[in-house]
Amino acid sequence: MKERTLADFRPMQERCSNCSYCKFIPLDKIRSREFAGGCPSIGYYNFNTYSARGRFQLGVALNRGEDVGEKDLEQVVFSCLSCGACDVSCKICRYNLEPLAHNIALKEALIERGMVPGRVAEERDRLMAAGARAGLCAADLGLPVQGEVLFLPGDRTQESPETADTVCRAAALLRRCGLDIAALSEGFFSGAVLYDMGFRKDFEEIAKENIARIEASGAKEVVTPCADTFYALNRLYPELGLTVPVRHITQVLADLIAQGTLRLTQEVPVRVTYHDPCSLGRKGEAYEPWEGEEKKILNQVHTWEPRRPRYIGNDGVYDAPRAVLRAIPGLELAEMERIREYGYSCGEGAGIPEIDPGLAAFAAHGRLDEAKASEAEQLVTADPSSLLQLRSARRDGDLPVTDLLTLVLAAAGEE
Amino acid sequence: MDMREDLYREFEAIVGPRNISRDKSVLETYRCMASQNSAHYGPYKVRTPFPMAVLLPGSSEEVQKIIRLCNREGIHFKASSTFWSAQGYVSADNAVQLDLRRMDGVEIDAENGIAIIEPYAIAGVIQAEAMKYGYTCNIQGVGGSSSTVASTAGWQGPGPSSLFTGTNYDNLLACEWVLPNGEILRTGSLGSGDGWFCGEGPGPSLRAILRGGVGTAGDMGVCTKMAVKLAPWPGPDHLASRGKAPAYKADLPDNFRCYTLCFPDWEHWAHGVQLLHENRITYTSHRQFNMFGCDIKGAMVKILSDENKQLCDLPELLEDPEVKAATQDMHCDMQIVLAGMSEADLAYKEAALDEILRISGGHRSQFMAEKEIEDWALLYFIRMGRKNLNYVLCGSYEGHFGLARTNYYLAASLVEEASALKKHWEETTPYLAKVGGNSSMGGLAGIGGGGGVSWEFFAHFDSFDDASVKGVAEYFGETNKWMGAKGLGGCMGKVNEGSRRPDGYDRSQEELNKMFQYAPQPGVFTYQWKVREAFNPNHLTGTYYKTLEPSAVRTDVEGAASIFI
Ligand SMILES: Cc1cc2nc3c(=O)[nH]c(=O)nc-3n(C[C@H](O)[C@H](O)[C@H](O)COP(=O)(O)OP(=O)(O)OC[C@H]3O[C@@H](n4cnc5c(N)ncnc54)[C@H](O)[C@@H]3O)c2cc1C
Ligand code: SF4
Ligand code: SF4
Repeated sequence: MKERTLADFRPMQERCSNCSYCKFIPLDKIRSREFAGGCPSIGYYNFNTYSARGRFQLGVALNRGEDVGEKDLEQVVFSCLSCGACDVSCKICRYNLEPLAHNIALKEALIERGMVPGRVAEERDRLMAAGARAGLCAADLGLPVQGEVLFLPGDRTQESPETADTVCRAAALLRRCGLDIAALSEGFFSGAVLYDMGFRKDFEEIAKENIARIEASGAKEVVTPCADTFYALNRLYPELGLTVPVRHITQVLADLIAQGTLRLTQEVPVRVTYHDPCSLGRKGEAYEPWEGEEKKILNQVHTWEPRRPRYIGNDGVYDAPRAVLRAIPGLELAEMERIREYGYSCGEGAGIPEIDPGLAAFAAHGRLDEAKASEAEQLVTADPSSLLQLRSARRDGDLPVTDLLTLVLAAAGEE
Repeated sequence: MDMREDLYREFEAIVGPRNISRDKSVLETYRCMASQNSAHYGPYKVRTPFPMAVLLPGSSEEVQKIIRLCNREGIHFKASSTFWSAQGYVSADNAVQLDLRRMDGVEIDAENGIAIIEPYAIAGVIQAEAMKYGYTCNIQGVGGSSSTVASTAGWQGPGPSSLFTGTNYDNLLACEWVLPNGEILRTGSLGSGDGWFCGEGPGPSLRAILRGGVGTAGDMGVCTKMAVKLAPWPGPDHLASRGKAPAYKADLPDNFRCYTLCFPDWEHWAHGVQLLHENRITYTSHRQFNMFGCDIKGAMVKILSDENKQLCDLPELLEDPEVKAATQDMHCDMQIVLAGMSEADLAYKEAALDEILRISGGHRSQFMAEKEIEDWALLYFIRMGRKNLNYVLCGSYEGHFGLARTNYYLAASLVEEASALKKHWEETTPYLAKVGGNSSMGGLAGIGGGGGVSWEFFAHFDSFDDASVKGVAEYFGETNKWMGAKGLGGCMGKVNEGSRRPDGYDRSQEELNKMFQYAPQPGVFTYQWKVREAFNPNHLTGTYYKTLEPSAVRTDVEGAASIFI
């Protein structure tokens, strides 16, 4: 993976204009005071420091070798969900800034200097101890180990028996629809969370092992119900050599429904709203190789030579889950205010539920409040990790949080 | 500078431990980098001083307690809401920064057509909330992410819609204000317990003290809540947008139009703009996209309204014959939005516009009327959510010349000469983006008695490139001289130099005396000195509020007005 040190970000750090857009969803999309916020980190802590802007400013000071504290700096830098909301909002106007990449680079820089808070280190150690082969294996899933389509169940699916059961039944449904589905003989952990926490080297270690296993499986395609696994395989692994394409399970289901292979015949009379997981949406865009450099034209205008991919979130997976939901008889879809590329994080990301539970809960509560305001009866998502995070944060009166797959199974008469 | 432990604990007791910080990392992010977001200060490669602590008060009472404590201990303070300019940052070592982010209330009083807002209610939010009730608001030209309270209390406040919605200084109604000495003042109807509906009474007005003509830049205490006038909104209760990021487009019913009006020369332009002002048919009126530069604006519009384009497409677009012709056609231009309150109203406005164009020899740009561009521009002007495009070319820009508040005929007669000066710098130095010289922009606002444009030129430069920053500062020396020679006052690129020293610290009274003692109307500054002595006796804010000791006034040197910034 191309290494980008904090020093490489100096031009971006010093070209940030303090506009505050990174604190909000894109201003054109704001519908209310309550749900105008985009960045959970500044939403929770309120100091400018926690916004992408603040992080750029800290980066400037660090690059200049200035003393910006230790414990407080560590706390700020790692209390970021790497959710990318700031990235989309910033890029509405700016073609030469990448706040998300910088947020992660800041974490990497601190790790490089040995400035890692205890909780962060513990979470990293826990993940690394479980390693690339954590999670559900073919035997757990009731799937063979050879097949055209490799099914990767997800980074946290095994944490809840209910989620694990749903994923198994969804895999079985895909088999019945004619997909030649198989799984790995050992579990699979994508490591995406380590990347988002700034542990790039650990991530690469895990990714390389996984890429070898995927390539060796002989599968022509990977399918996963997990947003982080999708993000890892679609965006991060290709840079490290993965050639096998990946689809999220909602994309597969949408295709099967469109082809008429999967018929959803049972009524599921419920009004739902859909939460876009960040890793499936704005962060899940496909990797595009790029090698080049900045080139100034007209004296001082910045461009990239050659044209550089922008990753602004347009090509995330947003339509497939909605198409699946709309195909369920009797189901009604009500949208929240913050959706698609400007969706709000559920608080799951970059290890935050373990590192900074208060921040994780704040984000989840923001999402649950928004779901309630949409007047839906249930909040649906299509990612086991988001599901577990939102469920763990539920308070009395919050909407029930439902797995999109359970609705599909019910509509397919699989209950 | 470190704060005494006992004092820190006292401040902490006011706002609670979660809402105060003296962590080095936090303090670092409350410094303005003057080359990156100066707003008429610099550009310098300096950062404003560290505050001793940052406080996040949650109520007027907390603000009051903080200010009282500051007065007791002689600690400087500065409140800021959205922090998009140098003005809001502390300018002394023994200072605390108030960040008003926790006070973000917005209440729409639909019956009275007003909004009651707190400092961190950004204009984009106020507008979204107002639209639910059939209203819209003035969005100050700095855009939807900025605080309307800050703009109304602290700065000027015109924006593209000001002719229709009123400017922030027109719209200020009753208000709750913590004075620099810690007293709470309730102005207008609020002062007599009659609610928020009126700024001038029954009850004290004091508008001139609170904000005056151009705003007091946080030097006259902290406004914690105010009511502002809203304007009717003939659109849906939510302005939907379509399309892909970043080129979102407005998805509006058919009663809105966005036009770019083109005129054969500046004289015709001035006539057309005068008629637009007099006839009040527009919802927004702004010369906007010329900010990128007269040679590249057509190409920039193409890039920004198409999600697949980037700045690297500029060279190709600049050679495109259609874009070239359209750019030339738009040399003397003005963007407007028409909003029909009804079908008949829109028909009337269209007919009036036809007549204005007939009289002034103007026409509508075909290029800008293309549906995708028109819908993109409609969203831009109505929501003002793209102001950070000001920085898109090079990472930074600074407004200069500032043929501010001048009559449009005067501005029009000088624009080519100013452009030639800029073009010379673009072509003979590498510091500024080379965009054709003329990058004048500005809104048509409701200056009493005839209207005017507040013309500002954009100098696009790279805040990361030291030579570019330094070069632009030198260039502003030249523009300042040019303005002086024309008798137009100082260049707006230099406007805040009177308020802070180039190192980011306050001016001393002696420096201010030297600066203003020969001012054409020194009475303005001696009056402000008296006001400051009465309301801010301990001088705990900053020197944006410009003062001149009465004893320092000099009248002995002829023509000395040019010393005045
Ligand atoms: C890109 C850009 C474009 C601009 N265009 C325009 C324009 O078209 N029209 C225009 O009028 N101005 C314009 N300005 C200047 C701008 O209006 C002010 O900077 C802005 O209104 C305030 O926004 P802010 O985020 O800087 O506010 P803040 O940082 O919150 O404060 C601005 C000033 O108000 C004071 N202040 C803040 N809150 C309060 C309060 N509650 N009580 C009392 N004082 C307070 C602060 O101390 C500071 O001096 C522009 C600035 C920029 C950066
Ligand atoms: S990071 Fe981007 S959005 Fe945030 S303040 Fe800087 S320029 Fe604006
Ligand atoms: S990545 Fe998410 S949490 Fe981190 S600064 Fe950006 S918006 Fe905030």
